[in-house]
Amino acid sequence: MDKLLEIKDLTVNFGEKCVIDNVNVSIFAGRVTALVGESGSGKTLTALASLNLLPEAALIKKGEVLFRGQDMLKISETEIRKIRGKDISMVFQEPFTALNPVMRVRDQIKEMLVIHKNIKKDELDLRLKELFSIVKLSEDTGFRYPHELSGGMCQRVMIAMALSCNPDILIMDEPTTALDVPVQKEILDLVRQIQEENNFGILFITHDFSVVNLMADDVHVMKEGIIVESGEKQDVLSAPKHEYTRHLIDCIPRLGDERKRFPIQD
Amino acid sequence: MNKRIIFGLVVILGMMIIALFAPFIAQQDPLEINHDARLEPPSINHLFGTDNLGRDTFSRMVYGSRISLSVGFIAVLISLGIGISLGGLSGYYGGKVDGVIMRLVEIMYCFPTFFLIMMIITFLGPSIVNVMIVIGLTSWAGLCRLVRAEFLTLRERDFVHSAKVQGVSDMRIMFRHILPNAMAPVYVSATLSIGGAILIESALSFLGLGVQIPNPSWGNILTSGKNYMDYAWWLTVFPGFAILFTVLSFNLIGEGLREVLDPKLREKRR
Repeated sequence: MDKLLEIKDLTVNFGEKCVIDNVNVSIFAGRVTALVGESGSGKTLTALASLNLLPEAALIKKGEVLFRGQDMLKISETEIRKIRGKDISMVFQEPFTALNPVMRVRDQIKEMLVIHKNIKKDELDLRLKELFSIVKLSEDTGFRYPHELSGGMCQRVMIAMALSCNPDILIMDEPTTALDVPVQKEILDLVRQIQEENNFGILFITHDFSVVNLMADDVHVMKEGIIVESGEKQDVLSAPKHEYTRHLIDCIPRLGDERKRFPIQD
Repeated sequence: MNKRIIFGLVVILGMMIIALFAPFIAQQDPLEINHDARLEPPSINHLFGTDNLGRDTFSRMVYGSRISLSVGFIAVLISLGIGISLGGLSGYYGGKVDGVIMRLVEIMYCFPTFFLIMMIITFLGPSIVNVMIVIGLTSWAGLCRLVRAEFLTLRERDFVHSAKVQGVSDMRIMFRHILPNAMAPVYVSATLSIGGAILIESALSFLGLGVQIPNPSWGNILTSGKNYMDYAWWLTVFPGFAILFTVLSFNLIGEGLREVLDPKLREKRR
């Protein structure tokens, strides 16, 4: 297996409070690594740390993020800007708000290519056409503004943006949480299909084990900044070792089953 | 569409056509002195009468409109340039940059603008180019604050964050992503400032610090007319109304734009 990115012993503090504690995650080519946990467990922070985009208040205590032999936490801002969006790109939770409301979506996708790739106009148009067909949107959609599109369409646009420069790694931060269930399935199938064709690695952030079941190869379960359980999907889903993982799995609604709720402590 | 904007646009577009085609509209030379026709009341030959040296007031006002409009637009363009760049930097970066720029704005606010402009013009020498530049250089503070406030809220929005994650440079985020979203209040404020700039230019010309005699501007026509106000009313009334209507039109366009662009006001009207 081809290891693309490795997060090693990462520890991040907000003041005195430790929000990420000794986290180790690796992303492999052609595989989906899922980071599962509740809100505030540090999943998104871990992802942002791998792009060195932590909020200013965050303090990196120790650890490194290795990508192509470089520590992403140490290289210069201009260097890392060339990696962001080109080699490692990201899809966000809220497709509506993550798109600029006053720019046509085609121009937003085009911007990625203009910034990161030095290509001529006719190649650019060709690539845009290709991207729209990859995410299964008609090309006319490109000339619309985000508010004229549905949530699922916006998310497809985001995916087209993220894929525009053929990244090695795609980070998806709860990409389907804001969408309804049939659209969720469509988007997830689409992502898997594109991944099979392009063999990039995915870091998939979610709190929903039914989505993990559909998508993931490797699973890391996070709670309060600590990875409590890691392993391959089948092992984690069929024989969860940690109590927290069991609770999360019990939340998946099953047919004919009385639904269990996540036990909330006060 | 909004009635105020239509009224304002009609007046301003009319003024612009007059200014552009001044040589065709004004049949008499605005500088030609005629001692046989001093202080003549309005008539077919002299639509707005003549002044104390027998010059045709209508021609002088037609040429004066060129001065007023160009001062208005160019001064505001200068202040937009300064206000948007400083306000943008201030709001986007925050911290020390913001601190320094905001202190600068406060210093600008400390001076009574009109007297500051008068003082600088006195030093630089009165000329229309100086007037444009100085008005522009002294009127950016309000705009700067406005742009800063917009940037402060917009920089926390998801699409800005997403642009950062995708490797877009700070300058590009500021001017391609945030600025277009911040333009609505800027349009309003800029339109209102054009009226303000025209008023300042007229006042400076009235005091002899703007356009120099014999070249005409609405302000200095008023100056020459004020001594004859008792019996030559046309020398003060026409340029006075010209200033009034131009400034009023810009203000109405500004107000109208605010109503159209501000979603809260739109809700109320429904």
